[in-house]
Amino acid sequence: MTRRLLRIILFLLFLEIFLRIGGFVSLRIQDFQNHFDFNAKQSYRILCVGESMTMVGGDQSYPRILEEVLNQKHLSKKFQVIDKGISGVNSDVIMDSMESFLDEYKPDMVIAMMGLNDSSGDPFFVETRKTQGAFFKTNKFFYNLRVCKLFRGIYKDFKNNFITFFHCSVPSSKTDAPIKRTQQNTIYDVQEDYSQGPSDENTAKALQLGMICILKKDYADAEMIFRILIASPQAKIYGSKSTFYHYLALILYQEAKVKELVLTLENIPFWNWYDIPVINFCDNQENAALGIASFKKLHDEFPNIPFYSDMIYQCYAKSGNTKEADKWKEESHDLMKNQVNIKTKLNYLRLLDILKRKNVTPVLMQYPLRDVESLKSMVSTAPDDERVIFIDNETVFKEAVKNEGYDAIFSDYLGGDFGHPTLKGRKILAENITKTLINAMNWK
Amino acid sequence: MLFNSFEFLLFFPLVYSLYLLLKHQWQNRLLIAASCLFYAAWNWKFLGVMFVSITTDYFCSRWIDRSQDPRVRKRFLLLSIFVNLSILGFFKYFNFFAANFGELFCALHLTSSAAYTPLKIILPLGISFYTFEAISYTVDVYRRQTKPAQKYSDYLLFVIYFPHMIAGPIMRAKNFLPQITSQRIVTTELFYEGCFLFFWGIFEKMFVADNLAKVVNPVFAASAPYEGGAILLAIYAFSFQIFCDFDGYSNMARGLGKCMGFEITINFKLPYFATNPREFWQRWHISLSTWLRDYLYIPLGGNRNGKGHMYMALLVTMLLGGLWHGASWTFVVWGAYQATLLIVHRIFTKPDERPKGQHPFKYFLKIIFFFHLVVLGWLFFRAQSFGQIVNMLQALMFNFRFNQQDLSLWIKSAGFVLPLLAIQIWQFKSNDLIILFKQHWLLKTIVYAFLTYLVLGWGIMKTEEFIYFQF
Repeated sequence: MTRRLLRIILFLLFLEIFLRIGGFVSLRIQDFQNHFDFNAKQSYRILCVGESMTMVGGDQSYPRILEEVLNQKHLSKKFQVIDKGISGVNSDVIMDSMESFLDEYKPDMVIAMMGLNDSSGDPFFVETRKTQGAFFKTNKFFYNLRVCKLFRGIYKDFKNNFITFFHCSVPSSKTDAPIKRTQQNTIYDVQEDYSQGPSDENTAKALQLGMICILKKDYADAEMIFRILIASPQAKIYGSKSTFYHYLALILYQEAKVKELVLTLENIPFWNWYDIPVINFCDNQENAALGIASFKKLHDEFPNIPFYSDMIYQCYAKSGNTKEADKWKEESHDLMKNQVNIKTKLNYLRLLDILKRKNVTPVLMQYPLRDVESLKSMVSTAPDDERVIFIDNETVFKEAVKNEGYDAIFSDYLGGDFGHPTLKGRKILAENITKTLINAMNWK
Repeated sequence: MLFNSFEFLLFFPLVYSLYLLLKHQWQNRLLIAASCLFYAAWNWKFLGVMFVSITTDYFCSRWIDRSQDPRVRKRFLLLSIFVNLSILGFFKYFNFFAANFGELFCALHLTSSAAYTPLKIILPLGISFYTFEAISYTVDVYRRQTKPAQKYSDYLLFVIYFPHMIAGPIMRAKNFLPQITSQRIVTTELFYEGCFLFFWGIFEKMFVADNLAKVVNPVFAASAPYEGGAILLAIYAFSFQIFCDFDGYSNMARGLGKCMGFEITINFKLPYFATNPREFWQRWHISLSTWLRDYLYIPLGGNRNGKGHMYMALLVTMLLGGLWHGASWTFVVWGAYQATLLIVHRIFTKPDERPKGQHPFKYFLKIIFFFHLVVLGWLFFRAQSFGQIVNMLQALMFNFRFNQQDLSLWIKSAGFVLPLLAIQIWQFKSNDLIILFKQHWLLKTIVYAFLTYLVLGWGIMKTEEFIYFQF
């Protein structure tokens, strides 16, 4: 027994060593790539700093893609983008190295996206479950171990797979309903196609037919098609189940099936709720109670996300229960306030100060799917600097997630409501930065 | 359901816990139910196709065994083979032959148009593998080399046992049925060895094969003109991708089998260390190559009727072996290429010639030379069409260029292959595929930690289908 325990400890120790060596080697490779051609040409230098969100992808990280995208725009400048993303570090570490980065690379502009790892007890990065990480939060040593970070990531992925699997893999009884032949070319086709087994081709066709039904306002047929899609194993490959649930929710809303709508919402990430006017339903006691019960369940599961508290507040307000409404409004407000992490805030202010002194253009970038206003309010106390550029990654990523599905844009759930971007996600990020910078800097 | 999927992570521990709690007969029943569920997770409707094949073979084999009349025995054998090949032929080859015959008839002016609208036929998962298992079973019973299964459930489990059902290894009844009918013993040692094999398979699949797929797929998905440097990298990468994909699956299957007390046959023995085509086929997809030898090459006359006949038998065997991989002429070309290598090798070596002691460097050069012949074959295997083969060969010969992006891809690909090669050289030197498992616990711990780092840190977590599922 003791020997086995020793082996496990040694295994974890070696894994930690390999993770650190791997990180070190990745940084050396990154350095090598940053210095490649460094002195060869006079170019506009952009330094990108951050943690794994910046570093992920190696030679296809977002800074590398950004350089490619900027240079393809045929602007009057030649761009060189330096990737200084360092996996697993918090904003303190980034800021401690900032002066040396500036001296070494002499950039004209710095793009910073940081704060994700400042979470040790602080909620800029929203820990998604009450129970999660209670031990690690109180113990920084363990919290910062690479092995712990790795297993936290695996746990999050496992948890999300688990939720998706059990929420989405049980076919609805609606799927087994008798074939409705009123629309020969729609429902019958979908059922017939799927009886052969789902494929990319018939899933795309079914999706198209489902959309046609929505446009024709044949909601009953549309509902049946999306339920078939959700129940199919192909749904996991073709886009994302949450996208299908999203359409189903829109249909159920139109059909005024409140109970089913509320259950469906549980399968949709909250950032996809924006075009479903859920609150409209809660104008009678019965519907409001349904909404409140469901949102409370989600709130218990994700206690630090203010969105759900806000929904509960709105349900109570609609149903006329002002006392409860005020209580939840306050909670929602508190959570919003707490989303600003003091460490992150100070480091952003410190960054602005350094860049002002060095006469470098600061670009502050918000994480994907998050509200840029919270970033702006974080640095609102900084001395006025007209040159500060903010990059909003909320709208573009919401749109991308809506169109392509979460899995196409993010590879995990590291941030709770977002994760490391996939190659597609990084391209969206680079394109969005390019667009914002060209507008803000008036590059031609 | 793939072995490296989240669903399997829930499925297997549950099945395995129940398996350990049950007695022998109930273990078999559990495995039948679990295997049906495993297959149904892909498409339950095709279980019916499998059951038709299984039921036919079960009854035919019993009648073959009981009867003493050679004509009756032959009739049942042919019935079984006919049913199996008809199912395989319809699902796998119907569109291929219909389209090709359409073109042939048009060329002979028998029809006015060669246009053929393919039927929407879905290839049932694992059909090529279980059809070959079924044929080998009835032929063995016919040859009286094996006794037929006494119980339907025993034969059923032989075919649908989930670790080997989808992509082999192609098991033989004489090896596997006794393991089903007798009590299996699961020892701690066997369990650990099974876990090691499963883990090694995961490493091959998730770290090597799936990462190399990212290098290979864009090249073969693109259209001409090609650059020779990129093609060369893609076919090198594909050589390791296909090996690790299939060997990874086989190792996972063997590992799962071992954990349950089953011995599943070894499918690969370091094939890229072969120095000639004969040795290659003794090391590559062994369960298929031995099947082709026993049920095709030898019945076709093998080497008993003179050299000319032997070469013809080799050619037919390899052409059909190529076609087994898929209904496409590129696979037939690959089969023809492999047959050519085998025939040329036979022409220049004596049948009873055994390898003598060789200078290590000479031996190494032979390995490298033959590896490149195999790599060239993979180009025919992986290409989407004849046109692509021609264009890629042209690019390799006349448009050979490297660019900076290629260099970084070469370095990256080498990074995915080198850890595998290092361990394979060790396995080859020690002539032991599980040499790592037999090392001192401290060394094992370090290597396991390193491989875990590679899988978790660099492996592809999004489940990619195994290449051999399509065959």
